[in-house]
Amino acid sequence: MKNSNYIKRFIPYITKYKLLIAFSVIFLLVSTISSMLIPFLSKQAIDKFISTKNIQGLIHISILIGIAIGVLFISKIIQIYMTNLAGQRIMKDLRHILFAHMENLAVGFFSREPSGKIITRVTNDVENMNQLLSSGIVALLGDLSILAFSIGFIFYINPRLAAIVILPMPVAILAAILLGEKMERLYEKVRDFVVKMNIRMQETLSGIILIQIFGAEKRESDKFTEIAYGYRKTFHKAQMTSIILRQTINILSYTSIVLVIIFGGLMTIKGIATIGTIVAFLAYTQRLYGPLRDLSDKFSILQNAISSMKKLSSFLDEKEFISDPENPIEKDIKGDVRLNHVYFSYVKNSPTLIDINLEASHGKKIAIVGFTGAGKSTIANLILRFYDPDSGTVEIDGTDIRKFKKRFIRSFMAIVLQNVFIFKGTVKDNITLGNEKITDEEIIRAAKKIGVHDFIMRLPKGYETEIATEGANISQGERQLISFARALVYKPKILLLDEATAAVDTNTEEIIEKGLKKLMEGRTSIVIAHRLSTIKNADMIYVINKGRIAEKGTHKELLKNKKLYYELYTMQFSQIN
Amino acid sequence: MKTIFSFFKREIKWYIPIMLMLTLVDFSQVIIPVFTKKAVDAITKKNTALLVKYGIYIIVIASGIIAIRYAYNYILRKLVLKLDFELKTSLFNKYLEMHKGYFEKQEIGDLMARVTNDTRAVRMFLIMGFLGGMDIALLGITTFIMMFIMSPMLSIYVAIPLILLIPLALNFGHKIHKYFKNVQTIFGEMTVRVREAISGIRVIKAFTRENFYLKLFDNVNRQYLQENMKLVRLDGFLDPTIDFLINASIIILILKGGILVIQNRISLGTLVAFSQYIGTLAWPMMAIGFTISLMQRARASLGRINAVLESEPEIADNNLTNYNIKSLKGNITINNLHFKYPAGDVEVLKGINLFVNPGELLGITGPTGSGKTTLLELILRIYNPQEKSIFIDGHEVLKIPLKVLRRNIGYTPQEPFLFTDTILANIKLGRENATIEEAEEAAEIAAIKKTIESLPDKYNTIVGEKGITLSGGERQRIAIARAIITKRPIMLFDDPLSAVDTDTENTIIKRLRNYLRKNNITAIITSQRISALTIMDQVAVLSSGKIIEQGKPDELFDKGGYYYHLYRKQMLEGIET
Ligand SMILES: Nc1ncnc2c1ncn2[C@@H]1O[C@H](COP(=O)(O)OP(=O)(O)OP(=O)(O)O)[C@@H](O)[C@H]1O
Ligand SMILES: Nc1ncnc2c1ncn2[C@@H]1O[C@H](COP(=O)(O)OP(=O)(O)OP(=O)(O)O)[C@@H](O)[C@H]1O
Ligand SMILES: [Mg+2]
Ligand SMILES: [Mg+2]
Repeated sequence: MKNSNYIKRFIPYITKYKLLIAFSVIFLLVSTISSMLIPFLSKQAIDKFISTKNIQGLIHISILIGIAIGVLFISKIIQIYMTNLAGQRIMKDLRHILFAHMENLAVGFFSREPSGKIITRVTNDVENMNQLLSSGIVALLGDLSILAFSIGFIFYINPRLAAIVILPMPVAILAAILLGEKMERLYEKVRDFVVKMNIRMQETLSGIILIQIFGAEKRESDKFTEIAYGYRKTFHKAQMTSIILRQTINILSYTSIVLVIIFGGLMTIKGIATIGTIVAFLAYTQRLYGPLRDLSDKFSILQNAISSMKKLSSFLDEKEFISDPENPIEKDIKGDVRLNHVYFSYVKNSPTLIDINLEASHGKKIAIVGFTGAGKSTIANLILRFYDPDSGTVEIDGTDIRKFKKRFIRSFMAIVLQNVFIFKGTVKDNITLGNEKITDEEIIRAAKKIGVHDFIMRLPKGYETEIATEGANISQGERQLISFARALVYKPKILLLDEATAAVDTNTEEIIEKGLKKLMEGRTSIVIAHRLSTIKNADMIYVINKGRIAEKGTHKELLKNKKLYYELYTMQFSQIN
Repeated sequence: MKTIFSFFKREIKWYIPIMLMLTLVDFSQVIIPVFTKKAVDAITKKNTALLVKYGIYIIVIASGIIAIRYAYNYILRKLVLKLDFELKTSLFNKYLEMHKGYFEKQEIGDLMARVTNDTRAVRMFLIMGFLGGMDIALLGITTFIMMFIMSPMLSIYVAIPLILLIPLALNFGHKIHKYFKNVQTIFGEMTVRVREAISGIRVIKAFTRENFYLKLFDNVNRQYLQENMKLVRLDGFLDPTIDFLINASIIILILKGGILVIQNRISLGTLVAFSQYIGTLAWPMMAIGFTISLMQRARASLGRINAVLESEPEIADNNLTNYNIKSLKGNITINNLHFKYPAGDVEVLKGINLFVNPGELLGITGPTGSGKTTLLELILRIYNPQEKSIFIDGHEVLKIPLKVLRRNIGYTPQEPFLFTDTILANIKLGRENATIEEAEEAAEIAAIKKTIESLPDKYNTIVGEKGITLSGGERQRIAIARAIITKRPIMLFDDPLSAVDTDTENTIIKRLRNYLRKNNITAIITSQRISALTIMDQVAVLSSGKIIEQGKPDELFDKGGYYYHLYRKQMLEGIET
């Protein structure tokens, strides 16, 4: 079947727990056999002992039935526990892999794919797949073995009657296959609606305050309602398809019962069968269709799980990586950065960077300035290897950064991003990002150097103050200061500052400026700034315009040039009237 | 709870038909063994005609059962999905009403889980639990009555193990509730972790902290496994136990029933019918098990859903609201405003007094964290100010209908937020019916028109999540255009120029001022940039929650305080070099 490809990729996760699964299957077989024995022994009881009025024998056989019941009870408990344990462990592994995979995807992936969708993958979809394992695969084995045993037993007891009784079964199987396909499509649609719902919520809840202020509640509500309505309708359709299947199987099962009664009865009258045979056959017919009915019930769960599995599989297939080289170079890094004829575009045919040549040696501070949207942050993105250039190279210490492992080379860099991001957690956690190698003294020293320490000490619990998700309970400038401290405690060889003090007041900015000078001795600083006062003293200033380097030089040289930089610089001081 | 009750009340018309159908089905199901008994007795009497007749009766009844089952499933599932839909949309609409403080306490990931994951538990309970419950009541009781009629003594013996089920069931209930609640809570936490890793992916990558955040996720992942297994240990015990008790009944039937047959006190047909009845009883007995489990799960989830539905939005109209206020002109008076964040323990604003005339421009500056954003958010009632502290046109903001207040104030937050939608839709957020010309005009004032027009899809360009596919300055300018297009009589701009270059800054300031003057709009603009402050009618300097200087820009310059020093640093030094 076409599902086999998707299933195949998940097999390694399952085989990891083969012992556990093997045992659950064994216990499953034990419990199935013992449950199968009960009607068989009951038949014996009726035919051999009750009809012959043999009380002694009846007691003996009852003890046998009792043993079967006990075995059934214990083996079932063990089987359920083991099956679920295996299922839960596999899910845990899978979540781990998915999360790790997600973290490895390129930055570009995240600017394209809505996070609501990614969240659905790692959480809801795995949850659905869990059901495939715990109530799916093992239950399927159980159901199949019940089916096989039941057929075996009835053929053993009375092959002629058995042949008549299983007549309706192929019809049931055919119905399952036909309706199954329809259900699969419908459940896939249902899953898509869940994703859309998550995407909408993610959007709306992230921008909720704006929606309220701009009075767009109605529109957002309508959008969500439409999706929820689609979900409702599609889900109902899918459910009804499985009901049809279930009822088809039901009617076939009643047909079999009637076949047992009529033909079994006729045979009994002719003396080829016994009443005990009929009792046993009735019990086995129920067990025969039980798994099928179960399957039709589980079909919906299974279909749901399979469509989740497909989604997961294609998520795991997502190959938008920035790849590491096969033979990565590892060496001491001084921190000399060079961009060599770099071309780059986010969107094909609309170049963002054109022939950028730029040099920043260790111990030097270089600045990148220019109009908004000129491509400054993009340069930082390339140095961090969030993206690879279309042509040209980014070099560190003369080596193309693609020859290093990304994480190796990034470990020498730190950045204050233009979009600061603050995690939920303490101030300290936000500065260290969980790196235990960074000591408290180092944190305090860095914070003091840039004048952030006093601000942090004003917070209710100092460095241990809890910050809400995305820094919601501190001011924008404070968020920037914390990101700044974060970049410095990592003692980077290369420090990238992308509008790092845009929201900070001028006095604080000056303090940071002075502190940085000492901290960055012997290291490379690359500063992107609109406020030119912060970069006047840079060793080299690059002026970017529409993706090209328009000018470069020191502050004095550029002022003398009287071109773009001069314009930007004097603009600061022009009085508007 | 209200939502669910009102739903049940509204759909009352369906109760009788569904109940009737279920009763009919259950009754018919109980009838079938009666015919089986008659058929078996016919066999013993070797009456072929009678045997075939009863066989046909069974098949006719069975067809009726199937048809009715399909019908009530259709209605029931439709109803449940309708309720599910209403829960989802009510949750979403509730979120739309909640204030900012709520989202600082509640994680968005968790709120999303309530809509997708918790509603599922409720839905499953309503379908399976309802059907199960009805079956327990109807099928269970009628079956027992039928058995009692056939043989009172045997039926009491057979019922003994089944009675043991009741204390067992009660005992399991509350534990399942507790464990399931834990499972759902941790599922929510997991969603939060994934969501945070996605939003902070650039920081995680730049600082090579992938492993640390994977570890954090794995902690939750492991907890999730553990909590699930606790649930399995409980749930997994329930099923086999019920199975065991049913089988115990079978033993009793064989033993005691067999003896009764031997003693000729009951017929063999009765014994066969009893064995079928126990088979029928098995289902409602199993149903007790999973109904308990599902009910407890649903109770836990419903608790989480109700926690949302029952929480009152803290910021909303109340009995103080004066609905006679229909529009605002733009006088803002702030009177001894003190403010402490609900979560914080220090006063952030300490006695602010301000007066802004309609059409006047007020600039606010001051150090990082001094309370500028807080002040703007209080005017907008993003948080509630204390009583009698903020007045617009002489009306206390707390008494202005929230809709009127919000529809009369335009706003650009300090951190621009864009929706994953077209640029045009983002600009028109507050005025859906604005024309494209108006959007262009707004874009022109915000100096973003040319940039938009240079994009391949122009105004129809779809921006990535939170505007990630635009540069910092582009995002900020779209946010400005979004406020401008509303032409509201009051506008609040929070640090609107922090991400643009000096040239663009000057252009925007000039156009913005003309626009504000022309439309006689009252505006408050916070900024660290002197160039923006000098054009204001009035400037206030905020420091540690107090206004330390206030007046016309020229007057403030003469005072030689904070403003003067800011001016010197940003303007004079530049000119001197
Ligand atoms: N992920 C992306 N996908 C597509 N286009 C992008 C993406 N990121 C940025 N751009 C576009 O690339 C151009 C350069 O963006 P960049 O962020 O480098 O500008 P910038 O110089 O940093 O501007 P600013 O001063 O406003 O921050 C902009 O026009 C922007 O719209
Ligand atoms: N939701 C909140 N809960 C508790 N404290 C808060 C919250 N939001 C802000 N604060 C605190 O209140 C103070 C004032 O914050 P506010 O955002 O008003 O400062 P600001 O003047 O706008 O600063 P910036 O120039 O950095 O934007 C800060 O010290 C901040 O930490
Ligand atoms: Mg930028
Ligand atoms: Mg602020």
